[in-house]
Amino acid sequence: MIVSFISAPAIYFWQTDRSVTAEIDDRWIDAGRVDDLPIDQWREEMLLFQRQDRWATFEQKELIYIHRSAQDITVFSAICPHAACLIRKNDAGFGCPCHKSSFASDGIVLAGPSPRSLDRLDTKVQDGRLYVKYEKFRPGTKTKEMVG
Amino acid sequence: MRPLRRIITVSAIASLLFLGLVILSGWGLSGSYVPSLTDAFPATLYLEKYSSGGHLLRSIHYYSSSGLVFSGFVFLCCFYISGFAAKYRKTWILGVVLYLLIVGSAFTGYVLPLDQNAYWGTKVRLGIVETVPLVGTAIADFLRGGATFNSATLPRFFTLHGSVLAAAIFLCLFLLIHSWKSVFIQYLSDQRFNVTLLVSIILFFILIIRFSAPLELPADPADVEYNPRPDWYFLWLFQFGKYVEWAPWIQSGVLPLLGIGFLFAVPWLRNHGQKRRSAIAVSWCLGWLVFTGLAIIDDKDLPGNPNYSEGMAIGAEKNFNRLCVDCHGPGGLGDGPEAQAFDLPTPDFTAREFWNNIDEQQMIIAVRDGKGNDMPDFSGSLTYEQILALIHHIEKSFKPNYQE
Repeated sequence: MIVSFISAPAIYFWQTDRSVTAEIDDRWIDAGRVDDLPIDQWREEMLLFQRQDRWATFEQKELIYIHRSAQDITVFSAICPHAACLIRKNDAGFGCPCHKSSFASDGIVLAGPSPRSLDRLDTKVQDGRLYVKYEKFRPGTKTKEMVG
Repeated sequence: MRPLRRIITVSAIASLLFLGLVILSGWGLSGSYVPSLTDAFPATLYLEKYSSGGHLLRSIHYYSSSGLVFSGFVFLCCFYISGFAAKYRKTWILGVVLYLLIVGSAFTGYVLPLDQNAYWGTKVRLGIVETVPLVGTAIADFLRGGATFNSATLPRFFTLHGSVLAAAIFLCLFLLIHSWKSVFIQYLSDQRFNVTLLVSIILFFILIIRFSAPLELPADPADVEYNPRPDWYFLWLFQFGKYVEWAPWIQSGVLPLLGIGFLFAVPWLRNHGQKRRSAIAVSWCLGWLVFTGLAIIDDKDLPGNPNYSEGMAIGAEKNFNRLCVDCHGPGGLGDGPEAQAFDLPTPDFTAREFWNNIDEQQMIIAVRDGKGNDMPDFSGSLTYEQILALIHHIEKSFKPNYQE
């Protein structure tokens, strides 16, 4: 009883002190010139950007897969929706090395434990350049919950 | 009955010894460790490579904790088989709590070096924690200080590892020793016992100084090639998880609950003969062995992850081909295409005279600050460690009569 009262402030702090996520408004990250993207081909791209978390600013490196067709551009986060391992491109589409989930080229789960299809990221084209809204989603859930 | 008693005594003493070593080496390590995303790896590398005793401390900490997980398991098994669990309920419960705290310490300590193995291993484990029904996500977020790996994650794990769990372990240990006070006094006043203990500690140090605690390249969250694998004592759970992927809560919820529930219930279960208890303990061990074996078989074709110096050597070769060949040439002769336009000749790394006139320090400075008008400085693109590895690569590839 006494112990729980003494530890309450510490537990409250740990429970409520969370890395800032939703407050960052400008998440659009430059992913290069649209014309440089080959048509009808998957490209592995590393996004480099800075992110603020509490007191620190970090250089962040995140992997994405970009596909440009004649009409539109598809971007997938390389983070597997199952347990957050990094997926790899293969002949059928994508595969995860950790628990062997596999995905079709449109991101739909073909086999394995992944609870949802690959996380598609929002894109916009401005002045001939591709911008990707880089977000992370909670792994292991059916619905996409943005967490960072 | 006699040999079982012996095993219980020896494993209890070994566990206490390992626990002492883990705690004291941990205090030693925390003398030069910083739990921060940017500093954790450099601090660990400093301990391992540049400090005078850090290497031994890391080895002691790593191998004693592995030993502790093993000897604690043996102790609990034999204590259960012998039927003591029902006879000394308090000791059994304290032992189980202590063991769970130790496993918790292993879990939280794993991430601290922040090398590839630490980062990815912890990520996979927290992924498993998240699949615990109802409370999993809340627990994982509470531990991490957010839904992803962030600035507060290392401080939190460090605090749990070095303070919270350690304090709980001290409390259990105190209660345990208190209830067996007379036995401890009897042992500690026996000269022969003290000498044996001292000799085994010295032997352990001598044995361990030859091995080093594993350290890989610094964590890289964007490395697609890395295959995360858990420590040997968690392999079975990892393997088990593969068979119940359709229902991960069996791995993270039902199984631990059943296991821990059984351990706590043991003193009150109907006490059915030593044969029956042996059978239960042996089948637990067999289950553990089978799953661990399957995990090893499953992974036998996976390429092993390079340790720190191997990884740096691979990186150095890439860096040489990326940054140096244009002038120094692929054979280190100084005949690269760019070098043709230089006023001064580019040195020949395969010539004996070159190595006679330069030492490692001068080479480090040349790469870092550049040399003359033609050699650019690489202080912006290479870290000190990378420059060092690059120079070792050049020596190894080109220096005449090179010896390690």
